[in-house]
Amino acid sequence: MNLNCLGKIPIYKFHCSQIFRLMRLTIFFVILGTLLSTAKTYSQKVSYKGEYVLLEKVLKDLGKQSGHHLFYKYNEIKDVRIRNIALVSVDLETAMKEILDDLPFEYKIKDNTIIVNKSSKPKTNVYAERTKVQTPISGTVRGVGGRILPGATVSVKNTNISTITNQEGVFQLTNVPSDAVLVVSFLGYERQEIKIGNRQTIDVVLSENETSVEEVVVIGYGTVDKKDLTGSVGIVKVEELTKAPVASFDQALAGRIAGVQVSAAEDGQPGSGMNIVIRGANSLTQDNSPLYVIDGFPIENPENAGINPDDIESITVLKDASATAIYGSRAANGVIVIETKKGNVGAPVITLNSSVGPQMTTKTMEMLSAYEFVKYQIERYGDGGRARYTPAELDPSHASYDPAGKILESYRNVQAVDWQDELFQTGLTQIHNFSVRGGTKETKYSISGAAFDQEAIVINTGYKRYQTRISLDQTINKKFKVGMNANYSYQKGYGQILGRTSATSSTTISGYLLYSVWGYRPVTGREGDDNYELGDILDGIVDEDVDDASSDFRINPLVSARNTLRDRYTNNFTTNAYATYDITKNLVLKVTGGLNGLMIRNDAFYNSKTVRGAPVELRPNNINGVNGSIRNNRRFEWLNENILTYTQRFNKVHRLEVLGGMTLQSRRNTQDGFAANQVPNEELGIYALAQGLPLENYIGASRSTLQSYFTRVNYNYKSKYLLTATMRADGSSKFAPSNRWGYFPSGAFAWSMGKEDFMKGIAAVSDAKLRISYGVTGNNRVSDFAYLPAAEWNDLASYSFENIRYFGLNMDRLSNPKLKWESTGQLDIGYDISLFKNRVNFVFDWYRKTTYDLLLNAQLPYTTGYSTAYKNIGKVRNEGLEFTLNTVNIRNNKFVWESNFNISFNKNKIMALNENQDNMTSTISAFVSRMAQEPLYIAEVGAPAAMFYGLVWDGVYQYSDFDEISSGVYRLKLDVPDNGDSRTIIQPGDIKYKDINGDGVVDANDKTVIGNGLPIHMGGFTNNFSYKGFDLNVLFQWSYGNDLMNANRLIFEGNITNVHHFNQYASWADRWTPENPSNTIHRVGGGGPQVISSRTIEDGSYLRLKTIMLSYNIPQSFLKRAKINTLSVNVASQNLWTWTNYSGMDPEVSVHNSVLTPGFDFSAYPHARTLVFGLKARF
Amino acid sequence: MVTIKRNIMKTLKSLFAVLIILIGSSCSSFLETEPEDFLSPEFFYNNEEQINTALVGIYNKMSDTRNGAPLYSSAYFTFMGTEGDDGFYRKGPERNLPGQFLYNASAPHVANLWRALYEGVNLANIMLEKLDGADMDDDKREIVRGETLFLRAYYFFLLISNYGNIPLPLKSTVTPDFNEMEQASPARVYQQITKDMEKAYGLVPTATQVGFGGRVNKSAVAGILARVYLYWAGEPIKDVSKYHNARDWAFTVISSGEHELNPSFDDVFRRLAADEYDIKESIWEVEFYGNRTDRPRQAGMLGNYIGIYNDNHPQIGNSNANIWGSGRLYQLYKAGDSRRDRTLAPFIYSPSSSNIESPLAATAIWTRYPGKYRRSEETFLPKSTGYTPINFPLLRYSDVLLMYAEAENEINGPTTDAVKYFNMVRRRAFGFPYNDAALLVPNPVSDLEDDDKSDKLSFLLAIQDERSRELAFECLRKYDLVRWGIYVSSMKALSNLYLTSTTPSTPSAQARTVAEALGMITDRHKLLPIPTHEMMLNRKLVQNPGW
Repeated sequence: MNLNCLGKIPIYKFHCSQIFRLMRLTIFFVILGTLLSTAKTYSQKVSYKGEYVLLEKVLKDLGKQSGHHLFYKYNEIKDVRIRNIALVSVDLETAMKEILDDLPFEYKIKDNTIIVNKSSKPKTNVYAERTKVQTPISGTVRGVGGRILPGATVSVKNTNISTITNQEGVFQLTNVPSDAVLVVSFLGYERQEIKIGNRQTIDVVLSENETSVEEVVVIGYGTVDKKDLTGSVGIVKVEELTKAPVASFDQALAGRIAGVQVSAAEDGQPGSGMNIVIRGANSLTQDNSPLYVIDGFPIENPENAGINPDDIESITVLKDASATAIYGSRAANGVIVIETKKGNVGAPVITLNSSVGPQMTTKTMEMLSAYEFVKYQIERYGDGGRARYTPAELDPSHASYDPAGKILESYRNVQAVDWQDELFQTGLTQIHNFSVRGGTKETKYSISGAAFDQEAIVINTGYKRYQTRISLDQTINKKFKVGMNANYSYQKGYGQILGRTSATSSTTISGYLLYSVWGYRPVTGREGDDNYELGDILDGIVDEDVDDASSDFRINPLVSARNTLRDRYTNNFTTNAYATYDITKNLVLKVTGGLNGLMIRNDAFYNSKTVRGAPVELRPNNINGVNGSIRNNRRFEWLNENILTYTQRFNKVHRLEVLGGMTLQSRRNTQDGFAANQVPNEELGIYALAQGLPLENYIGASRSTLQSYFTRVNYNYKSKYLLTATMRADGSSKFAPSNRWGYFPSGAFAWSMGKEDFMKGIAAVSDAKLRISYGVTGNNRVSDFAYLPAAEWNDLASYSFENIRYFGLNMDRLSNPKLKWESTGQLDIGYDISLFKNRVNFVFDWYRKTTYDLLLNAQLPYTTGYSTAYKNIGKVRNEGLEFTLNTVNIRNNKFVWESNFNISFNKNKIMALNENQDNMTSTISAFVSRMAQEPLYIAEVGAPAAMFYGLVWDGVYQYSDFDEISSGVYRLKLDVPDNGDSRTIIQPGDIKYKDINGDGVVDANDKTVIGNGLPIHMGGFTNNFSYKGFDLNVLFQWSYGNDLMNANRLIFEGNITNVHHFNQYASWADRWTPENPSNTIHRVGGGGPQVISSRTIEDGSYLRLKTIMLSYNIPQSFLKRAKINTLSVNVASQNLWTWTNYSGMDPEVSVHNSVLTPGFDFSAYPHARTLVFGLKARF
Repeated sequence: MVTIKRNIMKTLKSLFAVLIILIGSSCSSFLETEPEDFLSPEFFYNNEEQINTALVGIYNKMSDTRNGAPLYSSAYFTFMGTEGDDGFYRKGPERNLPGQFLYNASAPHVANLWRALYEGVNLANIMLEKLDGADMDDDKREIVRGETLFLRAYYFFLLISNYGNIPLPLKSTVTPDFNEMEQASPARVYQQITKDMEKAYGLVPTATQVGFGGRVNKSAVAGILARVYLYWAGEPIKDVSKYHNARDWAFTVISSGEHELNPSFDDVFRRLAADEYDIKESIWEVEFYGNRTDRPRQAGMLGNYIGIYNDNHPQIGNSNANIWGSGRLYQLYKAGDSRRDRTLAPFIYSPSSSNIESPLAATAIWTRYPGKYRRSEETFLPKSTGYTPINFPLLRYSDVLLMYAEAENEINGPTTDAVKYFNMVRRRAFGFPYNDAALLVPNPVSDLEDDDKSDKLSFLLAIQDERSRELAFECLRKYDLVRWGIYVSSMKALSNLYLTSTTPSTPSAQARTVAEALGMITDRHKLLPIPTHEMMLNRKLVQNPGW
């Protein structure tokens, strides 16, 4: 039995409130104690359990239990507390002894009375009497999983004996009493007490303290203790995030924070950005990406890939209005706050991380076999197909009849050319990071550099990045501090964009790379012939045989992909400098300046072996010959911020922080470039452009400025009642002078219920907090001069008089001087609860965001002469739930298992559109021209933005739908609706659609909503395991309930555009034939009109093993000689496995993505599976 | 040391102070930004050069290849069914083609045409509002005013002849809000059109002064006015008093003495392709030029989308040839009529990627390609695959002569004058002289037969057929049929002809499939529907009957 006493020396000067708290606490434990003891009354044995209980209460209770009266002097014992007491069924004598053993009291038991008095000989040194002096003890302090913890404090409880672990985490102590208790503590770790016993060597393993009250969260213009947060803020565990072998932090963000939807901007093209939407899209036609604040620099659409993930110290996502409102006008889409690593006090720490490994495709599409392809060609083209592939099967009278030629069966064993196999390669990813960080109390520095090189999975595509960062913080004197931070990155992304047509006309889909690869003929009919070589078709720039009048003349996609030059160079330089001055103890001034320069150069060069540059003899549509272009985009941005912060504590329980500031920000964009065609000397590559015919010169410039004033008041009553009020005023040059200023207030209240006594009584609950906030934030994402009318001097607005062409004027844009901010009002109710000593943390948030005065690129009646104009009109609501659960499932000295689970539900609803408009439809224009005219999406009032829209597919017409009017001649029964084609040409095996309005005719009036592009829920599930130096981190991420339009199947399951010699997916082999009355795939030529239907809408839900990393820390003993502090080896993988019912290559896809056009898959670049082997060293 | 530090501190403190003051004082102008790479209309329309550029923008609507190329660059002669019963779109039948009768109000072509024309109207409205403020020569200003008034009226005319019931915006749009507008009565629209055109007539130069067909001139205005009044006089408004105006305006052109027929019907169209002008016959054209390899891009698709099918032989140029001429039209021509083999090419290129003209059999009458616009006659090289420099004929002198004859017939019956002008057109077609003296001598081969001039109706029927022979594929036939009240019956007849004919040959299966769709025409197809897009955004609109 171990009794400790807190109140050895009675404390008389308690604050009122503390006394109240104590009293309440005591009441609770008395009740508990009573309950525990009732059963024992008759046996004269007593029991008591409790912590921090008043001696008085314990004694009274024991008296009651044993039926004794109690005498004591109130003044003597009233403030004495006992830290820990656990008596189970002991004699009263024993109990009294145990309780008072270490206290300056003595007792007597007489008859039915206990008398407690102050001890006549105060026991000043309890231990002195008992301890034996021991030889020194030593040990090592590690974190869970074996991480060495240098600098941890090891002390002997209740003494002054204390030391700190050295670089190897080793400590030594002398003169330690044998029954002493060691207290080991380290910042960020759970404090641990260990009884020494007879041991001389003690190895300690500390577990990380995730919900430490010390934890500080970076928010807008400052930091806040996590326990004092009033808003809804998501904190990314950066150390987990950086485990993903990716180029950019945003590529690893998916599934980590509830309410943050992170998906590929379009597809898996290397170097392409991510699409991040926080709590659903507010804007219908405008950008919905969040505002980023990087080292204090608020910036829209930053070059995220320019930041090395390894340099990131923290990422917080501000979600509700209370958290974001301080960024006012640009905060409606949420704010992502990123802080980079700074130097720490201490000797230089050098780290080196390197990983390298392959990248591969996760899936390729199964195409028709040689046999099935030829069978299809014959079915489609009859004798035309036979003449080319099976001349022996022709009628002998046919000109091409060749009895020695092939028959269909000849192709049974012919190996078709696997074009995908030629296109996809095993890529290689290399990641190298280097950093030196250190400093003194006055000067802290951090220098880092990184190289990322990715040869991607499609030939001639890839991505590179070189980056360096330096930061310096200098304390000039007690009051004055300055610092700076600079980042430079160079990126190069190269290769054909798969999700974009490379043809000159946007309606020609044959310029899409995967389209051509899938469709390219897999057999020539000459296989097995003496003079046939596979190289003929593999390496030839065109497939000679296909050169007939009506074919879609396809350039060899592989040759084209190898020869296409598409380079995107990005140079990004960012620098921030700050100075802080403590005007008084409570008042701090911070002045910040920042610069951001971004230069992007896009090079394109199409030589004669590419789809776009092939000579006109090979590709009639290309009259430009060899051609190319260079385009430059430059962005220059500067920022100045001046912030005063006043902090004051009143009566020790009221804390007030008032912040006020003003900022100026200016941004200028310029573009220029040129294009040339008919370029000679193509072997010079892009530099041959100088010799071509100049085609187009681009130049443009634009500027915007933002001026803001803001203030925030935080009031905190004992960290129990928390209030935050924010107000920001923004003036933006993007609006007409009368509407420039927008005002964005917000307020939040949080009640730390866990600190209330009634909650304290519940042992399971460690902490609990209720948060409520409401606020208004804005959005000004329109072009810089959207309010002004624009006269466009367009070459396509030209006309000629007497064969001389003149440029003409168009009205590009209608002025709207009333244009102003889009506003979003958001209500958030959140509840945080921690259970079982913070081992289970649960965060719940409900929100309702209503966006009004939508900045809508609104459709106008064409009678105005304009098709769209920016208007503040319409209303969108996003409502949702978010749950996050962090648990420590197992934590002991050897094994740790921790989990994070988060799930979010968002419901998007359009409340109003432009002036009485019921709906807006959208098309995907870069698709088969007929289908591109068909609205594929509808945004209807009362429904979520962007539902898929089209006909409802109803299978395939069967014989029973027809009357056989004469032998073999079928006419559709009168009561069976048509499919959009004329009834007379509809045959058994043709595609069938639902006649929704029942008029017997399938047309545009039968279109309806056929799918939802938005997920019902999404989330992530992370598990961390540590065991003896091994760490395993596993992240699953999912999206559930969203539909995708697999437009590839429109082309490759039926050849709707009727391209000759065109391969199809393997699924096409199971098409309808009289012998195989399929109800899923129509017959050859039975695809009906070119329309979009639910046939190719698929469930896009997926669960992905997004990131997995296994690392092993090499034991210290091996490292000492190499002078390495820590060394770990690891293997990591991204996108290792995906579970989905989606039939395409990759369910994380949205080519031509926008709020109004989500989930379209056509010729998309699939996400690769990356595997890297890495090494992390610390010197 | 301490003093130095103190001094640094003082300096820094004052720097802060200065910085804050600077920022505070510069604020007032900080948010003032001016656009750098575009002009606001306030800064445009200021001088002659800018006015001319703006005028080009108004003309451009006829040649525009953007937003579905709805007018004379492509859609109007290939997808819209303007060829009436002279031909048909040969593929399909397709859902979204106004040329076939399976479309509905949301078909993109229906909206594209409406959109382009109203864009033109708005540009013209801006011009008319800004013109007086420009610093330019007053004579030139009035010419621009005349051209602008005329073009706006012409765009309204195309709108009313296609959609029937249209809003009539006469002021430029200034705000994106509350732009709902009611349809004006058709008579009101015609009043406005004729008023503006008549005013324009007084302002623009004569055809001779202009000298080429690509620019508005007095004869163009007068000739189009004759057309406008004829439409007004016909279905559906049937204000027969307007035949007088039609005849008078046609006569204005005839009596100007500036115009005569080109002796060669062939040459009229060769010139359109060869970038040559013939202001005497071809009074008003839509100009196209170049091959789109350089800027500005101003080539159209005449000869490609309508033409003789060719798979891009370099000497010919690619032609998708979406339209087939009808067997009805072929059978209208009498032997010796030079127009037949120009209007319906008597050959195909075979193989299709060659320049070898392979003659068609006399029985092959059902699917001949229209031959008025021939890429082989282009002189601008190299030829682009898709785009051509061929001009579109908007008003020819022969049309004016036939309009005179028709209007005169409606007023006075088949008078000598009416017959004379009719015969001029016939004579030219057959290669006979057609000067006044020659016309006095009847020619039994070419001239109107006595039966046909026996009464008003007979002559009208003759004119109806003659307009088909002379003006096929010039985007006039459908509207002629509509104003004569015989559009629906004529298209049904055409459909029936293809479905039942076996002589001199049986039409191809493809032709009959399309013909079946053509037979689905109903009364509602006399007008295009008001586009769904427009109905949705302008609640004051009333949809056309039947749609």
